[in-house]
Parts: sequence; C-alpha cells; structure tokens
Amino acid sequence: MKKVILVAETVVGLLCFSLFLKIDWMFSLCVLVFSSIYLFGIIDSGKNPQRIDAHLMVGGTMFFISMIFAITNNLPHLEFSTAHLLIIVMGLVGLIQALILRLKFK
Amino acid sequence: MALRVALCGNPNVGKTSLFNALTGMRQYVANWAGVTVEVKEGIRNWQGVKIDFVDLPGTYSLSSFSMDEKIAREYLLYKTPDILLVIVDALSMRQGLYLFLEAAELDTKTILVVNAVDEARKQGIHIDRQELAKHTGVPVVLTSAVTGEGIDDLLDTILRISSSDKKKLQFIFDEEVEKMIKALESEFISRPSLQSFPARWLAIKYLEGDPQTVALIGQTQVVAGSLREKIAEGRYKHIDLILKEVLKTSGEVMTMSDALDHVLTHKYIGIPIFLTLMYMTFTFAFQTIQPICDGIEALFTFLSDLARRSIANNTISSLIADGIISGVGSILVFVPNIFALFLILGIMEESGYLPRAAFVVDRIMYRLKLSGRSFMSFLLGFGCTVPAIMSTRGISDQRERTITVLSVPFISCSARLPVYLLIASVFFEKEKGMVVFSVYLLSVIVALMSAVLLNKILFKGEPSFLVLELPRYRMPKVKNLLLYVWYRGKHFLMKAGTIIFLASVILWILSYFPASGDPTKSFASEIGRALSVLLKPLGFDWRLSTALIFGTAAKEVIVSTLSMLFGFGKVESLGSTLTSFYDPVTVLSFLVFAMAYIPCFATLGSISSEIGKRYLIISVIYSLAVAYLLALLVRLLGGWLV
Repeated sequence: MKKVILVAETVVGLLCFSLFLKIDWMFSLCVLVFSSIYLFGIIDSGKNPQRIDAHLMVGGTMFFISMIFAITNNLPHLEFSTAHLLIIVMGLVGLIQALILRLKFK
Repeated sequence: MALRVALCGNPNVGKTSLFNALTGMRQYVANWAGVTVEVKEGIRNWQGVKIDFVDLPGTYSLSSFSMDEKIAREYLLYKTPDILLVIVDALSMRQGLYLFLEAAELDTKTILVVNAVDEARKQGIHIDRQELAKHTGVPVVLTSAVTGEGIDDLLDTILRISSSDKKKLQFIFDEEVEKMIKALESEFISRPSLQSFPARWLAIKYLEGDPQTVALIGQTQVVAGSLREKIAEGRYKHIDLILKEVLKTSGEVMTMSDALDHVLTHKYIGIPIFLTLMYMTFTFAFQTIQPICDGIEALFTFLSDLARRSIANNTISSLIADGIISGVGSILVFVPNIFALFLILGIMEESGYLPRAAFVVDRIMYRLKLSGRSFMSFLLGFGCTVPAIMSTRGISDQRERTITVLSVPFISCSARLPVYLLIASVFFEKEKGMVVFSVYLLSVIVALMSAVLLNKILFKGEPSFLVLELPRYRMPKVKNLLLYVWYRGKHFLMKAGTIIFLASVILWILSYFPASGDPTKSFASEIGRALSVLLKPLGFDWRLSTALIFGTAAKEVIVSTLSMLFGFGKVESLGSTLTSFYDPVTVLSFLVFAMAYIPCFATLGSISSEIGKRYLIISVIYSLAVAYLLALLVRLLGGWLV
C-alpha cells in the first residue's frame, strides 16, 4: 500500500514539476527534487520497510514547505493556477502524512 | 565562600545550555559542535555560596590537537577549578565517558553530569544513576538543560562535594601499561619543573603521544606515543563494561533522527535537497519580504524630504537629509531581509539540519583537500566573517586552518547583502531572489576554488578527516530562535548606529566640499578618480571606485556611498538614478568585485590575530587579485554575450 502511495505521489510530483516549468522554472526544479524523495523511496523500499515511512514523512514535509513557499510568493499577485492548486493539495496531503508517520519513529 | 566550577565535555553535549541553565545567562547555543571556542564565565548564588561557572570549549579528549581542545586542556591544567563537571550526552555516553576517565585523573573534585536524559527516555533508554556512580567513583547527576530537570540537584551536589575531601581516582590499565606509567611517574616526580602537574596523568599523556606533554617533558627512555592504542583500547573496554551495567534499552525501532538522516543525508538526493532549501530560503528572504522593505524605504525618503523642506540652511539640511538619513537609511532598508534570512537559517541550525549539510558536502570537500569541519566555518561566514575565522580554532591541522582562514572571507557575509540587494532590485527586479542566490552560490564556489588553489600552491597535504558529531534533530524553540536572530542581526543594527553613521558623516563632508553639494567636484571624487585608473578596465567610474574604497571599512558603506554620491538633493530614488548611469554588465561586474575584494577592517584584524600579520597582507593582495580577475571575467563575458 505504501509503495503505491509513493508511486502515486512521484507521478503527481512530476506532473506538478511540468506544470510549474512555464510559470517559475526554478521553483519547478525544487518540486522535481522533492518528488525525487518519493522516487528514491521506491528504490530504497526493498531493504527496510521503515525506510518507506522515512521517505513518505520527509517528502510530505518538503511538499508542505513548498506549499507555504508557493502561497507566500504568490500572495502579492493573487494568481493561483492549476499548478498552485496541485501543490497546495500535495502540501496538505504531505502534512497529514508526516504527522501520522512521525508516530512510527522513536 | 566562593567556588570555581568548570564545565567540560565533548562538543555539542549541551554544555552551553547547561551553563545558561545554571547561571541564568543567555550565551548563544547552537545545535552543532564547535560553537564555544573560548572560555565563558557566569556567576550563580546558591544557598549563600557564590559559584563561578566556567564554560570550556568542547573537546573529545585532553590531548591538545586543535586550538579549542588546547584552550580547554590548558584551563584545567593551569587554572585548576575547585570542581570539574564532566558533561556527557545521555545518547552518546561512550565517547563522553572516555573524556571523563581522562579528566578524573586530574587533581580536581569531579562530578559526572549526564545531560539530555529527557531525550534518552524518549528513545526508551534508562540510565541507572546509582550503578554509574558506583562504577565511576564520583557523584552522578542526571540533567536536562532544556527542561531544567536536575539543575537544582546539580547545584546541591556541587555544594556537597565542595566540603568533602577529594577522592583519588585512577583507572588501572593492564600490567605492561601500568609498568611504563609507574616508571615515568617516578621520573617526573623527581623533576622540579613538573612538580605542579599530576605525575600519573602526565605519564599517560606522554605514552599517548600528546604533543604538548611531549614538548613539556622532552625525551625519556620511553618512546612517546608508543602505547596510544593500548591505552585507548583499555579505556573503551572498561567503558563498554560500565555501559552494559548502566544502560537499559527497549526494542530496536528506527529513531526519528535515523529516519530523517536516511533521507536528508542521502547519497544522491542529500545535496540537491540542501541546495533547494537554500534557494527557497533566499527567495523567501529577498522576494517575499520585499513589501516590508519598500515601506521602510518610503519612510526614509519621506524623512529625508521633510528634513530638506524644514531646514533653511542648505548645508545643514544636506548633512541631515543626504548624509545621515540617506546614508544610514539606505542600509536600514535591508534589515527585514537580513532578519528573515537569519530566521530561516536559525530554524535550519536549531533543528540540527545545518551540520548535516556539512556531512553531505564532506565528500566534495575531501576532494578539495578540505574536511567538512572547514565547511562549518564557511557556513558561519554567511553571518559574519569574524566569528567564522574564530571558529577555525577547531580545525586541528594548521595547514587546513590557514587555507580556511584565507578562503572564508570570500563567503558572502550579511554586510555584503545590502550591496547585492541594491543592485539586484534595481537591475534585475523580477529575478532578484535568483540573482542574490547566484551570487551567494558563486561566493561558495570561489571560496572552495580558493581552497584548492592555496592547497596546490602553498600547502601540499591531505585533509584531516571529518570528526563531526551529528546532533539530534529537535524542534526549534522560539526563545532560542529569537536569540539567534537577535545575536546575528544586532551586529548589523549596531554597525548602522556606529561605523555606518560615522562613515556617512565623513562621506558627506568629502562629497559636499569644496563644491557645496556638487559631488563631481568633491574631495571624494578626487579619491575615486585616483583609483578609477586601475579599475577602468572593469568599467568602474570614480563613483563606483569611491564606494569600493570606503567599503573596506564595512561593506555596507558601499551602499551609503552610492546613495550619497548619486542622491544629493534628488527626490527620486537611488535605483532610478543608477539605471541611467550603468548598464547591467558593469553592475554585475561591480557586484562580483564587491563580493570578493578586500575583507573589512574587523576581518583583517581577526586574520592577523588568528594566523599572523604576514597572512593579513597575503589576504589583502590575494582577495584583491581574485576580485579583479573575476570582475574582469564577468565584464568580458558580459560584453561578449550582450
């Protein structure tokens, strides 16, 4: 199940990256780097199941930070595109994910 | 009655936090090793007794390899305190107890303080205090500097132990080592020059090959350093036995720190994550915060106009409006940016992420013949170069230390920020955050390249390995964050009220006279014209040259100078005037020159005091040459591309 979440979030992250590419290419690179946290979670998952939780937790936190960044950066212009809406959804999902998964670690 | 109590321990075990909790002081505490590089003192009255606490720099052992270790060791040997608190981290007791075994043999009453017990409890670790006291032979106090747990108990223990006799503590090694120790001990006792030192302790240090002990004693019939491994092995064996009895842990579950480290220090994505977070930090601090800066700028423009309109005397109104308000105001405009930058860097540092950055880049640093320890000094350089240079005391290898001291000034300190921001906001408004981030990145690249160059030309050697304790991740505390931002930012505010204020007045005099407000015929223009001959190939006119000359006092003064040379009697902003004078290539070249050229006076002073006057001259010539070459390169490339 967690592996499926990782795959889904990687795909949505990459979609987000492509949408932001035209709006703000530097920020789109940030989204790409954070998506790669999920991607490497899929690659690392075979060795230790707790590592999947680590990737989901850190990836979620990073997308939450990206969401805050995207909102504060756009406040003066008040322009929210599909890409912005997508990053907000990913940020909120990421926050919930991180809050739940942190309980799994000491 | 007064007591002198010294705190010693490994780096980043919470000594300074404990020192603050014991004394009620507010020494800055960072969540990484090597912050305390000097001795700090604080007083506490407890039950009518005055206790003078001394916070020593962190050290892994009492052998003196790096400067901060030397400071701690010399204090303990030559200014022996009444009581010594050896602080060990509840989560890494093995290393802490090694230092304890060394310190316990000194002629001082000792208390073993196990700090961060709250963190240990969270990780399911239970420490048996009675058992630990039984095995070590000294009183043991469990504390948490963060929650305040055990502080009163520690103060009571200090008073209790002060009135009792000192117990003689000795760790007995195996027969071969003990035989050597005894032989050396009897030799040292007979030497009058060594009477004031603990003979057994000296003998062990000699056998460990401690450089200062060897220098003090000279040659004996025993080869210095011959039993280093045996001594370390013996101590660690004993420590492992103690820990087996003392520590009780629950099942193996990945800790939060392990989970975060797995991703944040990942072999492939660790560095991209770090760069991404840094880019977001800069963009937030310089783009998102901008409306606040614009408000402050409008306020200073209003005050300047008000002074011009309400003061009848032209000279006085110009001094106040163009000299003081414009000069100081042009720098204070950037205060929100600087505080925002430090707030985010503070969150990163407090949470324990920044030391991971050093760990992540260690692989690259090693290839450049530097260790991650140098990177920590580079990171500090983003705040102010002076403490960054002081922090190199923790680098044990003298060659590496000199390289780091000469390269750290290339890192963009906060004083250079106003210059970057002025140029970026005027000429590259839409990409402001990106431009400032690029200059910062360039400054890091230049600093690293400089390290490679110096290593190849002046010093040839291998880097020392990175011995950096990675601190635990923790939620940043608001109080600590505010202190962090204030300590870093106040330096900037104080400079605005002192050096920059004074420089603004001097600059105004030089720019106003003798032509009564025409800067083109002023003394300042003469000074600038003299230098502009040299800087002409870079495209800098006398105004930019003058700004660079005054910028050597403090880098922010570059902005005040430009503001004054372009602003006399003008209502429009400095930005619109600048665009009519210079093209983007010239200002970019100026930006790069300002980034790399001669360090400010305070930095030059610290270079001189840390590594010698010879290097001060080398630093001036070297930085000037690098700045000139880089600016020329930008000019040539820019001219070719545009």
